[in-house]
Amino acid sequence: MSDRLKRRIKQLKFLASMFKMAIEEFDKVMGPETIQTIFRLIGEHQGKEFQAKLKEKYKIDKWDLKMFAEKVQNEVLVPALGEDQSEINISGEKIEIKIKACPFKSAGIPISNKYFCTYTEGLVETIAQESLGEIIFTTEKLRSVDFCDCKFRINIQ
Amino acid sequence: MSKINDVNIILQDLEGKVADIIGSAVIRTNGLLIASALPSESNERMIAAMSAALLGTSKRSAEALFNGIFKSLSLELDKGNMFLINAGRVILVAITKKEPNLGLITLEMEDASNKIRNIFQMEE
Repeated sequence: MSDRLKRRIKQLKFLASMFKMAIEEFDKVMGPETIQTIFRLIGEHQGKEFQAKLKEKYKIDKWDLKMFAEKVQNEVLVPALGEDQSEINISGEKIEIKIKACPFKSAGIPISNKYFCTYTEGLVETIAQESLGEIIFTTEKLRSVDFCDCKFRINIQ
Repeated sequence: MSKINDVNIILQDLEGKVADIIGSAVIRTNGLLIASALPSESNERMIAAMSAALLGTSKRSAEALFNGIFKSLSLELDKGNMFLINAGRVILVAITKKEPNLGLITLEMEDASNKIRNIFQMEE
């Protein structure tokens, strides 16, 4: 490993530990509701940006379920989680999203407080809403509450 | 949908009973809006997010000051007031005119929050 890469990894580890400490202090001063809300807002914001970028990149006028599943899988989930760490299944007017890895957990950040889950929920729900219109979004399972994967369900209205 | 209808009826009833209230909403503790009767010009999403943040900070203040439990928050502003009351899994928020009838608002908000608490407790 080059010295430059070693320095870069050290910097990133420092930033990750600062992030972890900042979250702990935010929790002490402002409470979990505040952090969950902030993560949710970040997720919603990112969801809007992802959807707009995908729409522009693939010149999409009207989304269908298959297109939604393919683009979200390949352009959003795989880059963040890696290959084979997520699944999107379509059944009629329902979409099931399964996420097997947690990037926050992999980075050594405790996930049991569910702060980061609100980010993922905000991200996925917003992309779905912006792409498919009126939906009902449900979180069925979360790794942060001891399930082996996260499962989200989208019902098209 | 019937839970949302029930909550909307409670909000309408609250606004009908207290003329000083110009808007109200029920918000999840993670900042998501459940039902709202806020003025049309208001940014509902941000009010919902800020209400959850106010609840979080208020709960921490209650713990730090008296090792207590948060009940409600009143925010006095130059053009009106904001009231926030804990309703179990959700928060009831009301926005009022300047110098409102505090006694009436507190009483009616407590009543409404108890009804809302019951609706969402039944969900568990």
